[in-house]
Amino acid sequence: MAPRTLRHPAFYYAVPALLVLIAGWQIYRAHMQYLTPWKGGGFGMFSTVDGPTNRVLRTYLVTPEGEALALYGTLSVQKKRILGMPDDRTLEQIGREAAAEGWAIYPFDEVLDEIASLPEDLRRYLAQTPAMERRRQERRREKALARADSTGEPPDSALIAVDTTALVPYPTRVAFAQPRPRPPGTVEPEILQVRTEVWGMRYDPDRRWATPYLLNSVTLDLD
Amino acid sequence: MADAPHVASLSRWHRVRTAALAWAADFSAPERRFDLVATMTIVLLVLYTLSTWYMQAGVLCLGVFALLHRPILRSALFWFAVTFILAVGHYQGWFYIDNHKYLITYWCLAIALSRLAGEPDRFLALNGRLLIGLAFLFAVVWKLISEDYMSGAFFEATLLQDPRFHGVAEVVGGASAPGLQENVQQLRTLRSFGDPSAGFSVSTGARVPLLAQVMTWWTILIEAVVTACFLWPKDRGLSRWRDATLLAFILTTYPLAPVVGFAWVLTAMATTQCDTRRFRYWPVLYTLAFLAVMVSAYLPFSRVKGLLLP
Repeated sequence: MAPRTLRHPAFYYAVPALLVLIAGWQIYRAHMQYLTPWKGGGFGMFSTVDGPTNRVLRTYLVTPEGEALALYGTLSVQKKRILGMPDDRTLEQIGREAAAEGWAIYPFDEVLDEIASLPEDLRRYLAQTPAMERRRQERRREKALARADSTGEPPDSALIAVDTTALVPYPTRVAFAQPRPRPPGTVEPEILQVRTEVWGMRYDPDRRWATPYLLNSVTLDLD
Repeated sequence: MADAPHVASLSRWHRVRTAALAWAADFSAPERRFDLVATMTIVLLVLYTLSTWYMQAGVLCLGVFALLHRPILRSALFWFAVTFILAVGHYQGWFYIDNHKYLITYWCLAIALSRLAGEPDRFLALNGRLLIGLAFLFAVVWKLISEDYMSGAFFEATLLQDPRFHGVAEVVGGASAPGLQENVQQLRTLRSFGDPSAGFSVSTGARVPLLAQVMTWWTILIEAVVTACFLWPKDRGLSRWRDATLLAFILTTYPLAPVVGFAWVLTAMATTQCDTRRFRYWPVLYTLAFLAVMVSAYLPFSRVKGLLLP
């Protein structure tokens, strides 16, 4: 015979009540703290375009010379956590972690030129960007044109085509976390602010157009 | 005498049919229900819940041990241990784990508590029915309050940008494979270092908008019907249709979006509560659905498109 308490009707409804409690809490957090409806136990999956895979994280270091996009591969804050619920506290935490790092800032084109000397994780990351794909296409195009010049035959049109989807604007300056102590001869850039942004996505079926929008942004002053 | 082969064939068919029905009746017997459901749950846990090392070590060891020594499946302590590991593991990643992982944790807790309840089978049937009904209720609420779901934008964007749906976007929606690839590439550009303030044009297909509307309204309709059937007072009105509607949902949803973990926890929960007084073979049908979902995960729509497209 089960104890008296385990025969009480309330006991029979305890687990469904827990589901309702957590799902209600998820709806609150999704509306007040940027939690994506897809996550958090509220069963909002397949209800909106605003899922973690359609959210984008950007961290910028503001220096006297301008802004640089931080490549956050070395930061310890989990990207899944940030994209799942980018509330002010989480974005501030990223800002503080970024501020505590040592950074080296380079023009973006220079980074692509020096890709072979970068750490493995960033090399793999950059290698799959459309910017690198565009570079590969341009090199292939130059070779095909040079070959056509030397042989006198017309170049293969497939080899000289450049994919226009790769022609998107890219940041002019990027920042990499540097090991401490810094390598000799390198200078610590002066960072005035760290700005962290998370972007969401909207889809307009009439225009067939996807538009990113700023979901949340936090700027940390380092004065 | 000319009819003899025909009669023999009929008699053989009758014997096969009788044996199959006897097996199905035995399989669906109420006294075997808990073992069937517990085994379904363990298979689900072993194959689809392992995300951290301690979940791998804990759930895998406990799960495999239970498969080798079935009597432990009836122990409350065993299910509390499983629930504890799941709860700790899922709590660490509450903001990114899928919703069915929450449901699996609730379900294991319900199994554990059922072993302490005065009427374990009634406890489990009630919890299975309510957990399904409530999960679907919240899914419907989210869809109703989501502007981009109700406008059809969500399914249109998903068909065009989510590679899991590209098979159906091509075969039914008439989208082109290079166009869909371009959409994925555009998203990838944005996720890497592309300018987040710049939008992009999305390549579509002639019938994609219509397909998106059909998927939008079918999904919310079937989910609302399942909600009503499972939350309706038991044995009355709509409640009598709950097993048929849930099976319809499973068989129309998961071949397109093969989320095996979700489908399996639904079938395990549904098996505990099915009404075998009206139709005794529901457990057999749920078990077949359990297997069909697994097969569909390895044979998604995108893989069979080659057979359908010239």
